[in-house]
Amino acid sequence: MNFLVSEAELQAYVDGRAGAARRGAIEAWLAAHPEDAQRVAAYRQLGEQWREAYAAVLDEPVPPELLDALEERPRRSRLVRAAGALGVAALLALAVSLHLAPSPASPIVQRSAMAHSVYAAEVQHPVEARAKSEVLAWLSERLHMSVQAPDLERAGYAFLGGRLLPGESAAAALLMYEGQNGQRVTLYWGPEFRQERETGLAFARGERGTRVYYWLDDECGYAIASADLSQKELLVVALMAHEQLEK
Amino acid sequence: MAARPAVFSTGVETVDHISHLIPRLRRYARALASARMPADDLVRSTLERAAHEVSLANAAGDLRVWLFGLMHEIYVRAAAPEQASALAEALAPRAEGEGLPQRAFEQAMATLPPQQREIFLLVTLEDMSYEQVAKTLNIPVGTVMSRLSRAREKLRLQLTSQARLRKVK
Repeated sequence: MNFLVSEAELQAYVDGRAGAARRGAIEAWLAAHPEDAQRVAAYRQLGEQWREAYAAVLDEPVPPELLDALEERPRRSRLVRAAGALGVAALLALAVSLHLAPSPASPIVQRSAMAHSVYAAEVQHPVEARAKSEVLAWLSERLHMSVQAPDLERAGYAFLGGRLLPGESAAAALLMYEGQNGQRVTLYWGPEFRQERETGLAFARGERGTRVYYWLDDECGYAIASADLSQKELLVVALMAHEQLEK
Repeated sequence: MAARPAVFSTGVETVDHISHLIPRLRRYARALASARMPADDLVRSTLERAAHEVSLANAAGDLRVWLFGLMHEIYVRAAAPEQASALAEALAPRAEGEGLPQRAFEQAMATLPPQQREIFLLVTLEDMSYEQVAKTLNIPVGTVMSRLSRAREKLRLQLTSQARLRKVK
């Protein structure tokens, strides 16, 4: 049995979230380390004090103006608001293309965000275990188009590999990149989302905190997604990929 | 892990679910205590954004994580320039009628960086799992753990020294 107890385990113990298997070891540790036991007791007391101090807020009637805020209907497009939030960086992104942005919440957003959250979380088999050129050749064949892996090394992301995915009604491809700290970025290729009229980069939020930059041209829909990167960091990557894939 | 709420079928239904979370958003915002953005302003901005993006709530899975995540983004933007003035904020006079314990907690809270405040309060008030906190704030779980530890230790020392000061007075 391992009697060494980590700080994270002590924190989990404070919150009643330590696993049953480790509880005995943690309690033995606390019995032998009075300072830690004192800290744990103090932390628990902090929690109680804070909950008690703010408990009454839950019973306050909700001001009508807050309910009104929730009833408001969209006034501005998502893209305009994203630009406001991002400022200069987003304007730069918009400047990439003079074409119109895709209509909000294009289906590629949901598809690519879903693919990202399913496969980027995978540690053992995030992608097909094959050589880069082989993977790209195989995906190109299945998607009936030239699938390329843009070089994102300059932004600090190395190519990990790719895999074939079901899209909505046709095959799609997912390429995965990884940063030094294990942050993952995926590039989704969805030929079924192609659009006659080319679009510029647009930002959207997918499921589970996944952020997505996407653009469509007459050959394919592309989406750069990550749950690990901030919007700004993702924008840098998206610009880099967009530049390389632009025809 | 806590049970995930059912997938909401309509925007109306989602709005209804969100409205039930308003008291919890208010409690959390109140405890975050930012002079730059009063609690209800923070809640209102969050709800406005939630209303705009309600179509994305369905895909978010955990509605509470999505909602507190929106508040986090708004809060961080408002709180970013605040750190330097945190102490001044803590010492500034407050509206009357505010409970004494809350005042002491606000002072202690003001000494923490914004993200440590958020982590401590999501764990303490919202009883979120560490994974949920990580998703809400978009940071790794390991970061949640180390900052939670730092936040608690700082708060403990703060409250101990506050208590000592009161005795001296």
